[in-house]
Amino acid sequence: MTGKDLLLMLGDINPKYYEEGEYRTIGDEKHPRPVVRTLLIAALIALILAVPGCARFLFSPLNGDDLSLGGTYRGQGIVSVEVKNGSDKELKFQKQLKLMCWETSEEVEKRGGEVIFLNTDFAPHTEGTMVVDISAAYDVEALEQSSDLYYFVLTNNDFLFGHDWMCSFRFREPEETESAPPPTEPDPTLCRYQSIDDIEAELRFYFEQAYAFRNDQQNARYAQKVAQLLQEFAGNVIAPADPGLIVGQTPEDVVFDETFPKELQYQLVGEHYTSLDGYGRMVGAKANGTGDTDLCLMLEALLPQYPGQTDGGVGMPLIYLFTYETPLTLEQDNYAFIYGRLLTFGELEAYKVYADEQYTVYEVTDLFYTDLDSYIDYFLITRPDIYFDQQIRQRVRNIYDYYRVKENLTDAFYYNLP
Amino acid sequence: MEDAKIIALFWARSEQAVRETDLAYGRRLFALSHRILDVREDAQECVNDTYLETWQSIPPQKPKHFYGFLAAICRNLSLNRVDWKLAARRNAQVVELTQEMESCIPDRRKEQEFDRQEIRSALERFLESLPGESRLIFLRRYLFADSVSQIAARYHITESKVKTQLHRTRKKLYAYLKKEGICV
Repeated sequence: MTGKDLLLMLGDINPKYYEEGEYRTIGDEKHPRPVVRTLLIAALIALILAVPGCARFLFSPLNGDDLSLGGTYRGQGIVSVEVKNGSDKELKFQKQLKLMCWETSEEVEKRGGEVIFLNTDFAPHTEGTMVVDISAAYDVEALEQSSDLYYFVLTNNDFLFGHDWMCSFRFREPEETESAPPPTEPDPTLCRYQSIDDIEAELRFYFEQAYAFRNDQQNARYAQKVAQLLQEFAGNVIAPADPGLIVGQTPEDVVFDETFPKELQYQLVGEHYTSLDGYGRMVGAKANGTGDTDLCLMLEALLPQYPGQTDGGVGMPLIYLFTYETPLTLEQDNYAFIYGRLLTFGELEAYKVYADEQYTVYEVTDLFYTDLDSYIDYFLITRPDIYFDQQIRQRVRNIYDYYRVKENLTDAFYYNLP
Repeated sequence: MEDAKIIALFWARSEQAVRETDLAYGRRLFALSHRILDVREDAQECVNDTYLETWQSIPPQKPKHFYGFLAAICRNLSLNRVDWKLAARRNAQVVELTQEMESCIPDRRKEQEFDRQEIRSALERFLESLPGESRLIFLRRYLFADSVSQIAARYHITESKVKTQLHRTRKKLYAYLKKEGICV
């Protein structure tokens, strides 16, 4: 037997080793460093706080009279907190809370998961909405059975020195108020990353509450509404094509994340054809389970589930590309239906990133979301399993910025045919 | 698309299966093949051949580790494509790998029939006996054909640490194969 033989035979081992080599990294089994670091930080903070005289120099006080908090339970473990910061100081809520029962003054027991916070910072003399998702941390189903009053204890300083703030709400209204009609106006703060004003009026219901996943029933209802709309519509609505036109690898000098080797950058971007967006919403008029399928090509940032991992198989959809047969885009009566909107191909011209005799591609990410940072924050609410920090946020932004440049996309398309 | 759905497409004999496979894993497979062959066109052909072989294998197979399944095919196709006579001149990486593997074989003087299945099992037992860090470095080097510098960059460790670990692991493999009576 020779070295070549052994090298070849090594290839016969169980495929699980290939996956281990590709996906796992050193230290997966244990993460002693963060624990040690956390303990050190905790010890340091404890040491500082042990000297009471230091405290008032460390934290600037905030007068409770200047703050107003109002909580509303939105379902599925989501609570929106209306915050009015009437003070001259910036208010930064920490991402921790206590959930208390008003009647008993007892803290509700956690079941282990994390509470997710969105929009925690409020500049002086501003107001806004903080969104809190407690679904992973508490037994929401049990809480929803109770019509008792509950309240959050929120803090901007580890619940120390009076920097804790109460915000009450009910998971379920008492019996006598249950017949009250549900609010019909959507909460605009819940869809801040996208504008739904230009979506066909009868379809807007589907795009409200941006972070909530759509289920099959909702998709079927939407598909039915869309079919009705298109049937009544006078123009020809063209379905997107799926010709296997895809985006190739980025040039070797493009770096999305400086903490990863150049040769691994390709692992940070994924792509696939899809009929649903990152929230399970239909991108076109038809999706899986609703007959024929309208597909678009989606580029996504691949995200880790723990520090140091290249990707955890979790993709954050970033760029949406629709492809149509070129001759059809040239006819005046033809329309595209994208994400609740009927658009002429004249209107789509501004989004065109690639065209040849057969196919034309439009990059329509702006129709899906317009504020990347808010979009990321909302996405993270739906995916608490993702490890995310400033470095990863920068990585996502770099991928987004790169592919939003038309020339970068135009040069990258190729036909991927078997 | 999830692996299970892609495999279902293969079973349904849908050509979309190949496209979805390429979208999901094409880049990784290309990188693997390119490290072995060092020629872009050859690497792309190997990736395409990987899809063809996968198409012919599923069904009847239904791999549990789909990426591993693809990578194994791609690696073997790539290694089989190496022109070993010319490799010394053209592909230093492959030459290094074979030389390093050579040092793990206890006795090369005796030509002996070997049972491929037996060696595979022995190699798997050996991998299981390694600490996690050593195993990953070994796998990256000899399964994925990563260079020492690539491994160091991947795991944020020094090149000398990689070299030391690889040296120790090769010595362990030598001792293990000897103990198992393979190729002696």
